[in-house]
Amino acid sequence: MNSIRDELISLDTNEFIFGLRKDVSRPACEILVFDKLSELRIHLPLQILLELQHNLTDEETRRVLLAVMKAKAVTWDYAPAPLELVRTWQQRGAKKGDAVIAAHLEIAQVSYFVSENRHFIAEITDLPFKVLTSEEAVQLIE
Amino acid sequence: MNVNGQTITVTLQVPRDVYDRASQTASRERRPLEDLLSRLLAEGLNVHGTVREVFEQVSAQYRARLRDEGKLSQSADGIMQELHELREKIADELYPG
Repeated sequence: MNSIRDELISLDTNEFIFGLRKDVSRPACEILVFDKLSELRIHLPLQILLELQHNLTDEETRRVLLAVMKAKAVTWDYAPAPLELVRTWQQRGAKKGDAVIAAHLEIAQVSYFVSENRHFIAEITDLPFKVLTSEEAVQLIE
Repeated sequence: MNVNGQTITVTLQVPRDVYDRASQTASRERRPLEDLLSRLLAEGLNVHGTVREVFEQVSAQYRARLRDEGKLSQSADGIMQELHELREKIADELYPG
């Protein structure tokens, strides 16, 4: 059994953006988002939803979210992450934005976070979730 | 059925209650009923399409917009930097101070 298919996974905004752009330098983003989403249990936290809304028009956002609903399972988290948890992650060395993401993932007990940002809170070693690039995630799924 | 350029006019019969709900929704959203029905039809097709089909359509629309805005050839590093700045901006708005 491959656990990445069975455990909660969150995709960073950059996965959707590079995938939609069909960026040739990040081909695994398109594979992950376009072809593997239906095999995954997706968790979409508020911060990612807001970032998508800033990058996409209302119509584009609606269509992306409709597509995300075709995942094996999807949970939407419209609540802001608890402030004290964000502060804890900041105290551990994360920048505020990354601290918000980490707080969201921790509270939702997400197992995997896929991001093209190789430096995503890299300074913290004992994360409660595993950070993967799209390439690594696709390899694990396959 | 009347074909006119990129659009096709279709006459169809729908149950009264469906029509009433659509009319009320269009009225609430202050948009023409025809626009709402057209959007609902497209979204309904998306529901039946594969994930790739849906994303391919959004991608085409998104890339066309980026091309018009002169942003399609933006470097990956530039995109990452913009996304990083956006993340911090949203976090600052949600958690001031």
